[in-house]
Amino acid sequence: MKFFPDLFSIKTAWRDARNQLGTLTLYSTGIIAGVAALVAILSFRSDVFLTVDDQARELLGADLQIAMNEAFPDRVEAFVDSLGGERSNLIEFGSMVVYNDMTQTRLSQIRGIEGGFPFYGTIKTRPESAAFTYQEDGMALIDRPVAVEFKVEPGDSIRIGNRWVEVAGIILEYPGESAAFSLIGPRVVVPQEVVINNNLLDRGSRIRHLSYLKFDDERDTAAIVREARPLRADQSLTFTTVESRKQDFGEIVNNLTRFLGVIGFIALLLGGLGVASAVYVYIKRKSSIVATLRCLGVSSAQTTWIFTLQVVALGLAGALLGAGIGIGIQQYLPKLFETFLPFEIVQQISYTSILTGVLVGIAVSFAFAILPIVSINSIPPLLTLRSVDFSPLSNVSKRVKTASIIGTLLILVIALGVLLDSLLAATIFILGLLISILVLLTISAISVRGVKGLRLQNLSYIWRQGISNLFRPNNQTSVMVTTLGMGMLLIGILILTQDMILDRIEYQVGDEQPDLVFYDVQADQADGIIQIAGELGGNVLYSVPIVTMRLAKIGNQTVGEIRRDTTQTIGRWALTREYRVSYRNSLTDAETILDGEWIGTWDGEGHVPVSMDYRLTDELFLSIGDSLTFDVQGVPIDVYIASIREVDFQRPQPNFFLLFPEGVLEPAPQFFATLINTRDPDITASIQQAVVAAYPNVSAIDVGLVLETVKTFLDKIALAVQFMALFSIITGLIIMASAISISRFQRLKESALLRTIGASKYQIRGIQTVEYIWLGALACIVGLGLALVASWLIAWFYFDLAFVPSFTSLALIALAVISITLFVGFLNMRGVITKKPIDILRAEVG
Amino acid sequence: MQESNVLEIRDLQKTFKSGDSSLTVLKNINFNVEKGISCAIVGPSGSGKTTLLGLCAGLDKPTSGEVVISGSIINDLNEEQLAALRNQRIGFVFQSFQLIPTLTAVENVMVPVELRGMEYKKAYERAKFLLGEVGLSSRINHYPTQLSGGEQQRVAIARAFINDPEILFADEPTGNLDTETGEQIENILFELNKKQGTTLIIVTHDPELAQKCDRIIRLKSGEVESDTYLNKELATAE
Repeated sequence: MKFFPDLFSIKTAWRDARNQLGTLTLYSTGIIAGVAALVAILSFRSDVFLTVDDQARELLGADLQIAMNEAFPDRVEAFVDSLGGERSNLIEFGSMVVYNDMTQTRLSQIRGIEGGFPFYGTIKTRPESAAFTYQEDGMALIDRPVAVEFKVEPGDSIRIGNRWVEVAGIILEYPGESAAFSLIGPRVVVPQEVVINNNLLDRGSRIRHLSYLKFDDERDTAAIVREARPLRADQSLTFTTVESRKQDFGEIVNNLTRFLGVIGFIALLLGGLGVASAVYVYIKRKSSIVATLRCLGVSSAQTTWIFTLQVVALGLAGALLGAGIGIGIQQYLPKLFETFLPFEIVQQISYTSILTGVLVGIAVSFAFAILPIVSINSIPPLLTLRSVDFSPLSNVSKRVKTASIIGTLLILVIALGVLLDSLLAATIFILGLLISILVLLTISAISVRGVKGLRLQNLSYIWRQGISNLFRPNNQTSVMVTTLGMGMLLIGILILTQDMILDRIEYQVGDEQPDLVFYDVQADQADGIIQIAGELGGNVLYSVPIVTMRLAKIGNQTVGEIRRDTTQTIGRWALTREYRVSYRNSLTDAETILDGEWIGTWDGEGHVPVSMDYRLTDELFLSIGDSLTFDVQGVPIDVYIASIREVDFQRPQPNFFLLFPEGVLEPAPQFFATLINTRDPDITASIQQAVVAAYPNVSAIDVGLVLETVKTFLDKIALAVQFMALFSIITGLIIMASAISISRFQRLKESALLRTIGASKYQIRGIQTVEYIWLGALACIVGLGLALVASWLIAWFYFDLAFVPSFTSLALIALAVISITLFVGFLNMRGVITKKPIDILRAEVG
Repeated sequence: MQESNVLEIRDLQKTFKSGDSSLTVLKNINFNVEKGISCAIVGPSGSGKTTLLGLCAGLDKPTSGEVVISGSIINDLNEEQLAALRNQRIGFVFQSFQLIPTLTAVENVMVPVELRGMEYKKAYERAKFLLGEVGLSSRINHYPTQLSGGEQQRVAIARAFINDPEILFADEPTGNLDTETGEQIENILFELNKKQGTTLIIVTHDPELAQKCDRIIRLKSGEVESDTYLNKELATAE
């Protein structure tokens, strides 16, 4: 075949197409939804990056952020001082806050700010002036959701620790943070002096200390970070520059949009499959024309070009239509993500995104059309003399078929590679998807064949004829079932997995599980809390002491030495983290000794025998008998590994990587975690209020509230994914509509024939209903059946759960899809019944 | 109407309108067809043969005039009533066979009686018997694409006879077949016509086929040019 079409091919392609443009467009409609999804998501990504570039400094609020999990030691302080510039300090921690009156309490994220943070952007508040005056006035800013929930207005008061603070304003936006931050806990901004000298900072709370710097002299912040490297060796010290924040954020957005883009791409691939099927039907119908052209002396290259040009033009039409719809959807995408975005998106038309979407769309539709186009060459001129039902594909040689399929896959890999920026990832994905589609196609074909065999004699004629209609010549039943099925597979897995996660959490909030957790409980407060809980009807399940410590040495080597030793591969996490350790003389149900011997009490002689979870010993390359030194808040304690345990961290109770025996840590500074079972939200609330009133430093987690938060979070994420998966269903429906339209004449003829021999309208409608119900039902059986299998595998391998699928959700989806299938089917069959039989019987098959 | 007439055509006219212009394809058509005879409608292309057949069979409505089948005027029947009438009293054989491609031979034959609600087993037995009558006992489970043209037409004939129609309309039944196969089909049609007493109305170009009928109605430019009885007995009765 020549590389370019000659004038004859171009002219003939147009002349052949011009009278059937409307019908031809039907063949390309499959890719519309996929291209729309791609253009929308690519444009959305471009919008987000545009906004990030525009507001990069506002994302951080400063030129440089320095953070530590403790107050800056002198040498860090000295380093920060030496940098100059304008500085603002922030202390961040979780604490209970009383909103307005003692019955309204919530674990909140407290930010004590000193100085001018944010230097870039502003905390947007109501009233607007509050963000600029709260520091001077010693007042607080509180998050909008909690203000709405507890009906707190500016002028009301909140209590943090022991102090009541007046609310200056309500936080509407916080620089660099999305609305989703409120889900973790309401944000409360106060002048730093409110939290200092408030008994909050020295009593066990996990506190983050941050310094924000602003430089007026375009300083190279990356150079500062490099310069500070020696300081970071043994510390939890982190530096964040505008550029690194931008990169981190960019990565998240890239991952999210790539993921959603890939789901959109699946819709496009399914569309491509639809196009291939439709193009093949088209070419099969054109067989006699091709044969005539060949008889008249048109070369095989010319006939191939004629139809290639038509197919590419159709792909372009479908892609352009899809791109137009995609631009429309782009306007609404930010709504789906607004909770997770730290700024308002600046929207504009991204020509690169549109071009990418359109080109990928054309490439995919062309890739899938290769095989049908290649089959044109197998149409013999002899067909002009003898009219038979000719199947071009079955006459293509195996070699040509294999080469065409490889060509198709190559184009798909390149197209996806462009979207993912990685040919390897694209190859793996396409192969994986190919396998999924093959599985779906095989199961569809088996199901369709199974249904064919189902034409049971005791079914009524309407049912048997309806089922038979699925197998009319040139039917695209398997492709329709596959595309609809793939959409349902995606949505099915999503819903089942979401249900699974929620079930897992709900299981942990069962009758005998804790529904209220207190932490940061001081040793002298533990008994008081147990008493309050008991008096108000709560059942204390655990009250566990916790001591914080850091690893100082492994054997004789200090952590610093190990980190500098390039031959060591121990992760930084295990070496530098703050260990939260408990002590007791027995093991719990969640712990199993794997190696060594559990020693519950230390006799005061020699190294302390401790027990470690196997994951930590693996990470630190330790085995039974190895010795270590821990720095327990300034006091070195030598220990050795007496036993290695397996801890089931999924149990809803305090679990520890490292466990000490009794007789060592009792005098160390420590706090308690107290877990209470109430079985009643009112009791939970009253215990929480009483404890917060008596011990302001103690933090409480209402497990029911956490569950709600997780649900909200999952719902929001799921909505975005479901939205993209919906495009696959839409593609399935479009392919179905186009397949019905393509076979419309055949359907009209069948229906006319039946009416000629006496079928009533009711019978004709009944036959159609049966056909569409079966089509939808087959897609449900295939898609949801596979979703069940996939979710079961996820439950088995990932969540380690007995899989109890929610059949209600599945039944609802099935019902919805079958109803839509029926609707689309009947929409495309309008006029079939009112058409006069004589007109149809006279007309020739077109 | 005489009791012996199964079909009466009175002052039939059919005009097609397209925008401002109109075209009259049938005018002043009058004839009766006696029960049990075979009647050929012949004429050149465009003479209105197929239009007349469509009107006689209740597939289309005349512009004016009446079609009476077995004593009932069918002009005023609605489409549902016409469908029921066709199902109970009329059989069809088409030039291009018009089988349902998704059904096997036996299933195609069963359709008319199944539409009436006949139970599967009974319908199957009857269809099988008729397929035997047309010489297709060994091919009852084949799909239309697996059958030759002649075999497909034989299936269509079996289908046309399954509801014991009073009239069987055949539109160029041998038009798509070679001479030998065409003759076989003709023989089957006439045999069944005799055996079952069905009135046979055949639209055809084929003078040899027409000569085998009891009567020939010749159309020209939408009018009856001649009406000839080849069967002398019938001619006398007329």
